[in-house]
Amino acid sequence: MNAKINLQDLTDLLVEKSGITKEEAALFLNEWFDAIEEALLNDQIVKIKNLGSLKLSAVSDRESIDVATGNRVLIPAHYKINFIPDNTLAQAVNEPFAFFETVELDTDPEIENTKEEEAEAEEVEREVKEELPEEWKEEKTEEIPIDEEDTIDEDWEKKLRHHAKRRKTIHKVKKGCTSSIYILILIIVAGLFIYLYLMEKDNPMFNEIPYTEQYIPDDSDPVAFQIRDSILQDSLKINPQKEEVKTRTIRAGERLTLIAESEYGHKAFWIYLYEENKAVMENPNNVPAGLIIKIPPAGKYGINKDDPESVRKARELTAKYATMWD
Amino acid sequence: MNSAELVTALSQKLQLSKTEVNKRMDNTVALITAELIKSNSVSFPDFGTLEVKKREERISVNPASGKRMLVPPKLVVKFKVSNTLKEKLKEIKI
Repeated sequence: MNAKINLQDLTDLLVEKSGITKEEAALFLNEWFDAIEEALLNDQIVKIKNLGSLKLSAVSDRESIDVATGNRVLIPAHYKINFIPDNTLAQAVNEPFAFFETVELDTDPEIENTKEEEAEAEEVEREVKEELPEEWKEEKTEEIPIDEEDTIDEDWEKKLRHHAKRRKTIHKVKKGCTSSIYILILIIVAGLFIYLYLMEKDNPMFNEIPYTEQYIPDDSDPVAFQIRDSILQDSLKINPQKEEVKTRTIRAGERLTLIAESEYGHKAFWIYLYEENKAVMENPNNVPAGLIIKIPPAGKYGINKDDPESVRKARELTAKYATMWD
Repeated sequence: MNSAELVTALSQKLQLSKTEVNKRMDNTVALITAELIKSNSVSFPDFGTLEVKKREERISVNPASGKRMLVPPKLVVKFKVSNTLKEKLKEIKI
């Protein structure tokens, strides 16, 4: 097993097998290899019965990098020898593994694995979702002043246990961690929006407008639809009798065009925002965050997003101003 | 060059009959094969070595049908070219 048979051993074996003298066997083997080599170099292919064929194949030149020096080296084109064993030899050698057959795999283990991982991640997401409201509840109970010491202890115990459990589940599946963080952020953002919305609703400025008394016509009637639109637009305006001007605080990264789009439905009208706030605004291209600007009512400048003429006027005004900032 | 041509060339060189050369060659090949079956490597000076290598089992995918096949491990005969023959090969111009 794994022994090396050299030419000497082969000669001895041949002597044994063929009944020829040692000198004859040595001579024959030497000549044999010489003939094979010569034929290989001349004809580029030698076939030996029951053993296989030796073939020369060309390798084109290629560039390589010297590992030691890091220099580029050109490996010149050369020949290499391919040995293709004869079928009988190949089968004889492969005898120990001959009973194996190529098997078709019907299941894909890799895909299954990924599916399992995904399912796990989803489970963790669900767990986190379920846990969140509980946690909030607990935080609320903490805020309420409790006189009895026992309940506080109980609460704290519960909370500690809960946290430990949560940490364990998060620790278990690292992949679920990032997704749960995203969900947390999403929930917080959603909560903020709802809070802001409720605040706005409670704003007395908006409550003054008598929504209930307005006539809300059917969508099917085109004329009535237009009327309704105008009513709605009017309702969005600040009550003119009070002469209260709507204001807005610029947040970081917010631009006039975005405000115009949200206020008037078209970003071209941003120019009126500038017109109204020229006094406090130096460059409309760079509005500092925290600046409180006035939002003029749509009627003041004839702003109507559905009227192309109105949009065009806004653009003309923008072009007029444009020279100032450049 | 095929086996018959090799035998002819050898018989001329050794001044032996073709049948004798054929017999000796068959014996040699049989000996080499016997050693390779025993997982022994057979080396020829200044020429190279015939050795047995195990190819590990692997999963191959049929690109046309997408079927995955488990290819079993395999024992193959490998020819390792000796350095002297390699040098000779380098001298041949392509």
